[in-house]
Amino acid sequence: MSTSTVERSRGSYVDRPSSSSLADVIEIILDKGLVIDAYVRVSLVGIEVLTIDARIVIASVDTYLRFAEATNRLDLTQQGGRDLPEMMGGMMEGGSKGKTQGAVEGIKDALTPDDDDSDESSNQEKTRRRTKRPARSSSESE
Amino acid sequence: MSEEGAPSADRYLYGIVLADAELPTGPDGVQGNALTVVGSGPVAAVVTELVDPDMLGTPEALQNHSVVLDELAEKQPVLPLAFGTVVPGETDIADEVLAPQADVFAEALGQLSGLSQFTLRISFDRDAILREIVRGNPEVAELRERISGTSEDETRNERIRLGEIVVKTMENWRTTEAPPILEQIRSVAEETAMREVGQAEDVAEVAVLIRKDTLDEFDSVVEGLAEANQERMRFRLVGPQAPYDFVPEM
Repeated sequence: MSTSTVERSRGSYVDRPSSSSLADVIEIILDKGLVIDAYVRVSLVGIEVLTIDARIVIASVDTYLRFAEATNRLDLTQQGGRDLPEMMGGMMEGGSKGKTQGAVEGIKDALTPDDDDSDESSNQEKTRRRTKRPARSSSESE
Repeated sequence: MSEEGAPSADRYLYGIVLADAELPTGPDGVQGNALTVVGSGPVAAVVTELVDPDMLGTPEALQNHSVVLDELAEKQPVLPLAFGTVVPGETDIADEVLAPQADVFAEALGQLSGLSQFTLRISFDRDAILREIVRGNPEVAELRERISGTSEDETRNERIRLGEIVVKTMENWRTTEAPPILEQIRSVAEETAMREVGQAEDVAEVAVLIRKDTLDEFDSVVEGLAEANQERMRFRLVGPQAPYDFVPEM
């Protein structure tokens, strides 16, 4: 099960996953696509939990504690970067208490509609479309 | 165009393609079932019969959905449908789902012809950026000294203050550093769609629609940006994909 990716020569500075991870897929498509309203019928099984973990609100005590710990562990003498983004992994570090609370507030557009279509009330099962949007960070302009 | 004698199984719909579309041979559909096409005039739906309609929202099904659409999109334009689109067995897909909007679908597919979506996520390299902040901000350096060798409970307030400064600093830097990068991306893209950033170290996340005949140009711009920012940022490029972020409103 792999999404084909254009092959590149070595020495690239860009991380190009050869297959889309579940995290990518959730980020990219979970709430996208053409909605033929009468027919969208999803009860998500096992995805909501993953998504909640993936989307922790940025301005939260948990995030602050996680970055404080990362700063604490930092080796100031070292140069250069670490490994590529560990989207799920990074979230698992740091305080787990109170995490769920922050996480629920942090679910972002993976769980909320991009299309601001008016009629959302028709389908009971589209609960993922009703999750509230977290506070936007000030840098977001679009 | 009706489906006489059609089985009564519910059908999962992935997307809408032009009538002459080529089905990918590789991927299984959701629940491991084969892909088939139901046509109506100029357009067709790519579908799978569902064995167990109640087991739809699984991570595997989401992966299947995206793999099928991405592979379809490599060969021809496709309109991705929302994940979880299911048409009941008794509904005639051709007559009831496709026919009423066939012309609209065909026009939208025409507009997507020759285009591929990519998703670019740019993040600060966490350790590199933390070093920069510690070195550049005396308060951060001091707080770091104070929490050193202590437990989270012992220095909780200091840690929260430290983390907050770090997160706010990244936020400020993102505000000034993302726009010029995105400007260059836009210069080689047919269209772009910004996403909300999801993590403190994210610089930007953007979906881009690229003409297939300008892929090399796009690639060298992304590569150039990644090289220029290699000390502090990581660039992650996913694609080519189906145009999830660019389905027209209808």
